[in-house]
Amino acid sequence: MGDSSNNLSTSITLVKGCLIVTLPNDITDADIKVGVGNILRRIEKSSIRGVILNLSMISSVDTYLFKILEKASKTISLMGAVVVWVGLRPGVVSSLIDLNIDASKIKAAMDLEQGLSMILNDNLNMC
Amino acid sequence: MEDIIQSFQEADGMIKMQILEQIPTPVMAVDKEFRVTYMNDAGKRSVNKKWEDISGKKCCDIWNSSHCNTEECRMRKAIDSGKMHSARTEVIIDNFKKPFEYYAVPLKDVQGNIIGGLEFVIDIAERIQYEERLKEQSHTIREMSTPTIELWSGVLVLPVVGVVDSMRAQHMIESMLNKIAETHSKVIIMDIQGVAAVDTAVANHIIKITVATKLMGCECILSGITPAVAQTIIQLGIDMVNIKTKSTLSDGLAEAFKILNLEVKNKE
Repeated sequence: MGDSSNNLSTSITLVKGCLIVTLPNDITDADIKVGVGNILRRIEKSSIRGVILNLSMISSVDTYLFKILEKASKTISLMGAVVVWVGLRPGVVSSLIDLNIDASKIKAAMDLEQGLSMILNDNLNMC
Repeated sequence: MEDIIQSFQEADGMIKMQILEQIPTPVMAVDKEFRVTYMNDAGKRSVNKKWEDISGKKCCDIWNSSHCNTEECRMRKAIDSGKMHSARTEVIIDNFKKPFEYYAVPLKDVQGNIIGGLEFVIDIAERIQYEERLKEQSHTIREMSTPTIELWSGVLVLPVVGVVDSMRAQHMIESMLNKIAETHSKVIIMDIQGVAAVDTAVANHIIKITVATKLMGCECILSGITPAVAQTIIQLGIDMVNIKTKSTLSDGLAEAFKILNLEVKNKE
């Protein structure tokens, strides 16, 4: 618990073997770095099937934030957990499309429920 | 020909005055204090006043437009800068608001000092009316052209008919994403049967739309691909491997049911 006290801006909850990470609107790259560190340590300690990044609070994403989030997702998936982005707002998506980002490596779901079932089904398929 | 020009140049003021009088749109001259020194027939008619009521009065008392006595007044700008200025404004005549476009140019004496300004006024009521109608119609067409229909619970259909340009693609993305967020749909079928031709630009828009739906957590199925379209896509070397494509809308719907783990059965 001592780790998470460094990082009060993101909340991390464990549900059905999945970590649900809710990012606040004013997130910075330093916050993400600390958050990713926390998540990686939790995956190491206990078997975590997947990580859900809840982006529903974020009202705008630029290429910089997108790159950081993409990098964070890649890092987490290296530890063997499935990463799903959840709750991207329509406005955020259309701005990302305008920025011509490459979203081929990203798994996304409409809401937490669909994100959870996506991770649970994914693991079932792998078994 | 030169004789005619020269005789015109030498013509007396009366003829030149008459020429100005015959111009069908209002023309007005003011001095540096904005007192009216001249107004032609059309001008007098449009403000509905006689020359005796106009002569020597300030132009803002006669026209009473939304620009009068403000920084916006183009006549003031023209006199101050020595250059032509034009703008649109509204004038209240007999309690009716009328849109006008006016051009103000500075008047100079022989030495080149600015002694006042000349103003041409054009009635643009009709043009404004047309512009508004056009705006309305294009809005209607835009709304008509991008309907997103909820075909089944969790399945949206976006039929695309006609030409896909970047404006329309943008509008399609917006209406689609909002609909996905609203209905929490898992599958969207984009039917391009009605698209006459697919070139690289159109294909690019389609790919962008599929990426956008993917980021929303919604799967995109492309249906209605005709043989001709399939051939052009391959000839143009467009990579659509990452997109689920089907030839007809019903195939698309069957695929959507498969994704949603639904089954359509005959009644025993």
